[in-house]
Order: sequence, then structure tokens, then C-alpha cells
Amino acid sequence: MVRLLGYPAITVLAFASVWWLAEAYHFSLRDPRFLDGWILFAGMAAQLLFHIRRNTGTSRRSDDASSSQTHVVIGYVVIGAFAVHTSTTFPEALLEWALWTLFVLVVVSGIVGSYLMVAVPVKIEQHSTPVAFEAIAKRRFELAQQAEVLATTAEDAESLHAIWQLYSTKLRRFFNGPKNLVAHLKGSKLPLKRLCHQIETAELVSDELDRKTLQSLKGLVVEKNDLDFQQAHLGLLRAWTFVHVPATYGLIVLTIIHIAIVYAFSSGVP
Amino acid sequence: MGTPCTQGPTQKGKCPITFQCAPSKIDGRWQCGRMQAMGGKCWSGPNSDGRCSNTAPACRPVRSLRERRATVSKWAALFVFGIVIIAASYASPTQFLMPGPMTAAHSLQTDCRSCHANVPEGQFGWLRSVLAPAKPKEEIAACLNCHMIDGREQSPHDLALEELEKRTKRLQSKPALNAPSMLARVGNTLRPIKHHTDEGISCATCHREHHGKNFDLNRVSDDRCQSCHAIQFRSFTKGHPKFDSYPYKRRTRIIYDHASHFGKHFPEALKEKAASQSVPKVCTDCHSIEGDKRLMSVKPFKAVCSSCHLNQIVGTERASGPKGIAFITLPGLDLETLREKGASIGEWPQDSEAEVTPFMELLIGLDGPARRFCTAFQKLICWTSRRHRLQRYQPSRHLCGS
Repeated sequence: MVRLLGYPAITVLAFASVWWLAEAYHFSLRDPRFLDGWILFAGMAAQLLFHIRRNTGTSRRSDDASSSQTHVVIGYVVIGAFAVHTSTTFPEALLEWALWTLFVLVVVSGIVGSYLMVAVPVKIEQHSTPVAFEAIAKRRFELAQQAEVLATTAEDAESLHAIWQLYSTKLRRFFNGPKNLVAHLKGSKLPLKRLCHQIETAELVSDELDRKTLQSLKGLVVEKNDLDFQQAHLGLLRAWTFVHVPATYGLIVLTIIHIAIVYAFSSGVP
Repeated sequence: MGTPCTQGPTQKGKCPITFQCAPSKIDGRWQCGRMQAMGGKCWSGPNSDGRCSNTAPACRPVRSLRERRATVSKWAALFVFGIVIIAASYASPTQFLMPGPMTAAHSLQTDCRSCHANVPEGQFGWLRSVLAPAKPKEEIAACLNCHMIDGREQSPHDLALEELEKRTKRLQSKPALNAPSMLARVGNTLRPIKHHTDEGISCATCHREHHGKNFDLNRVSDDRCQSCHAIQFRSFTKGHPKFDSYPYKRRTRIIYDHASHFGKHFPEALKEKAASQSVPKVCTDCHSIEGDKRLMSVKPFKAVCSSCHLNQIVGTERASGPKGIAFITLPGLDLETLREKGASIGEWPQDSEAEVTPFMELLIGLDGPARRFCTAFQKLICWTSRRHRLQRYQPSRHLCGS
């Protein structure tokens, strides 16, 4: 609730403060957009500093959570400064439209990302034991190997044939790489239910030993499904940065060009 | 798919591992140094020359997500930069560089240098003016190519600089009156205004373009006006200097109602589009500045009021009530009753409906018998033959005859 109300309040407060400063600057006969523009640039530079620290590894792991929080808060301040700088109106020229679009893209992806950073870990913890994103592929490979071993070592030829039939037609593709990512994002358990149902159906016509093998296979299927769930959500948690960061780089380029143009053509009071 | 090694790929993404371990010499013998995670010490052991006897299968390093994202980001930045360069090279500056449409009056300008005189020529000439100092005189000269101002273009209100200095000194001698708002104080701190007035004020300081076709270039906010004023105040009622040393001993003879004229009569006149009526738009249409430009007097009747009121005075038009300003009228009388009673009234207009004017009352009041007569017949009832109705008149406004 605090986050729900806190961030909009920060934005409104930032907007009010920057607007008041701009009004005061108005008294100096200088275009106040010079002042609020530099305030906006300072905010964006602070945001970029966060990114540089993360990439160069100069920030300590213990500072990660607090610096992420600071990054989000400064982001909302920057939104307020942007609203003042543009006077909450749409742009009227090509270059300004490009700037505006990239900024909005960065802001929207940032807001989505800040929500995901809170929501995804909670969702994963509620679903299963969290696994590091980098370890998911390795664990999936191990599960696939185990499944193949189970499917190929049966007591007799008849059992082997039945289990292998199930494995080769349904399970091998399942174990080969991440599956049903969209379904996991939608919260659907239908693909897992379908597979489990197929295994349970095979159990009905199997003997004791085969049932044990099928139960083990089912356990591997459930574990692999959990890994897919985590991969889907952790992947989403990383995917939004593929929008946010490249858009930021483009925005930086355009911002520098914008500043150059503004000062090249500035007139009136120097 | 094994455990990632501790060394990791090279900067170029190649696997640096060629052998499975780095043997170490202990007590004159080479020992295998393979990690437990990799399987521990091997059976064959190192070669006699100290090299590992087991080659490691080279892995195929995969780009991490961070690396991929960095690559996408760099390409995005290059892409944006490239698009900007191409657009700046081939598009005209008014299409690409302009921050917004110009007012209708200036929209025919196709060359930015018509107004931005300090920008060098060339498609990318503006790059050279990024760090160049501003040239207000050249900018003003660009405006004066079309706008004719008689040599005082850098002075606000077109005042001569000497006049401006004289007024400023006079006002600055009253420091107690200076009550700027918090905004003004902060603004003056952020960017002191004196710095600008020393170099003069260029046109674009107050007249800002690129805000759209219908933007009013003449619109300057009250706050901006206050920036230069020696005495700054919050509003007309808060902090404005008192009107001491008012030069006039009495007010004007005509009590002119600004509110009703600007609120009602002028808008009505504009709707009627009467060619003979000139509706004032600014203060100086009716007032003239006198002396040292501190006194605002009213222009003569002929210049200001006559276009609407002259005809009413000479009697060719009516504003409301009788034609012109009545001095003497022939009031309405009950002629039939007077004739029946044998009163000799002489010739009297039958259809007169006028009332006794104040001037006539004054004149009649000077005559003693007439005054007594009117007092005795205070409530005289008259009815006109035309309307056939009873009218009760106020005693002071009706003369029964003498």
C-alpha cells in the first residue's frame, strides 16, 4: 500500500518542486526549460550511474537492494521533472517525438520492471523452491538424463516398450529445453495436468515395478515443470531489461543531441 | 553440460582451457592438480615434463544475458545515432531541428538563420554554435530587418536608457516598499537580473517563438515584467507602492464607469460593427502620457467619446430617454379639463407627454407664486387623451400650470 501510494506521491511532489523552481527561474527572464531540463538531465545521469555501478561491479551485493530502491525513487522524480519540462504537452517536432517516445518507453518499462522485481520473487517462492536462473539449464539437463535413464532401463522388454513409448512420444520433447513458458506466465497448469494424466493412464495398465518407474518419471516431470515456471518468470524479469536498457542508450544519444541543438539555437538572455 | 570452470571464457569468447589441470611439483615429483569437481586426481598423472596428460575438451562459451543486452544496447545507440545523422543530412532544418511550429506571421521563414543569426551556414553549421557565446546584437538586427523600431529596441517599453536610469534610481531610493514574493527572491538568487540588463535585452528574451501558429508573441506575463522592475510586488493589492504624491487635486468631471463600458457597451458596439464607433483596445487609446511619462491624462472628448456620444448630445440619436439632454420641455397637461373650467392656456401641444426637467423646476422655484401654486396642487392627476389611463405623477416633477 505504501508503494502504491508512495511512488505517485513522490512523482507529484517532484513535479510540484520542479515546477515551483521553474516558476522562480521565470523571474530571471531566462527560459525555465533550461533549469528544469538540467534537473531532468541530472536525474537521468543519476539513473545511469546506477547502471554503470552494476555493470562495472563497483557496487557491493549488500548495497544492491537499497541502490535498486534508490534507482526506482529517482525514476519517479525524473518523471515529475519530465512533466514540468514538457509542460505536460505532446511534442510538435520529429526529434522531440523521438525523444518523448524513448523516454516514455524507458519509463513504462521501468515501472513494469519495478513491479516485476517485487512480484516475481514472491510468486516463485509461493510456487516452489527458488533456483538461480543460471543453474536452471544445468538442472534441466540432469533431469533429462535421469528421465532417459529411467525410460531405458526396465525389467522386461514389454515394460521397456511401454515406458519408452510414453517417453519418446510425450516426455522426451518435454524434457528437451524449456516448455510452456507462456502458459506459466498466464498461471495455467493445464500442460502439467495433461502430462500427469498421461502418466497416470499408463500406470493403470502397469504392474508394481513399472508403476514405480512411472511415479519417478512423474516426479521428474513435476520438478522440470517447476524449473520451467521459474525460467518463465525469471526470464521475464530479465527480458524487460532488454527493453529498458537499450531504450536508455538511445535516449542518452538523443538527449545529448537535443542539448547541443538547444544551445546552438538558444536566443534571448544568455 | 558440466560445471562452469572458475576461469571462464576469454574476452573474445574463447575457451582458454586446454588441459584438465595445472600440475604442481611437490618433493621433486609432479602431482595432478585436477579439482574434485572435475573428478579429482587422475590415474595417469602429469607427464615427466610437468604438463597435464589429459587434454580438456574445449567448451563453447555462450554469451551471458548481460552481454547480449549490452550488445543490443550498443546497437540501439548506434542505430539512433545513425538515424539522426541521416535525417539531419537530408531533411531541411525546419523539418528536423525546429522544436515547434512558428506563429503564422513568421511561418513563411524557411531559413533558420533569418532569426538565429549567430548560427553559421551549412547543414551542420549549427554544431559550431553550440559552445559559441550568444550574440544578442545580431539577433536583434535579424528582428529589425522586418520590425521597424526607432533605435530603442534593446530598451524595455522603448524608453531611452537615460530615462530608464533616472526612474530606476528614483524607485530604488524607496527600499522599504520593495516586497518581492518568495518566487521573485528565489528567481533573483538563481539568476540575478542585473547581469542581463547590463548587456541589454534582446527581443527573444520576452517574445518566444516556436509555440504554435496561434501563439501570441506579445504575451508577457506579469512575473516577467516584474523581473526588471526595481520594486517587485506580489500583486496590485499586495506590495504595490502606495499612490502618494497624486498630482491631481480633483477627479475628472465625468464619472466614467470603466467596468460597464468594457463589460457591456464596448462588446455591444463591436457586435453592431458600427463603423463610426471606435472601441478602445488599450489604455493609450483614451489616455495620453504626459510630462515625464508618469501622468496619465484623458484625451479630449472629441478624440475619445464623441464617436459614440456626440449624436446623443446634439440630439440626432437617443441613448435612452428624451432626445439629447432636455433643458426646457412642454409638459403634458389635461387640456380638456382646463378648457371646460375656462382656464386660458393658449396654444399647447395636445400630445405632449414630457415631464418637467430639473432645470425648469429650478426656474419655477425662483418665482414665489408659482412655487406656492405647485405646493398647493401637489397631487395633480393627469390623463392623456391618447392613452386613456390614469397616471399619478411625483409632485416635484409635475407642473399644473400657471
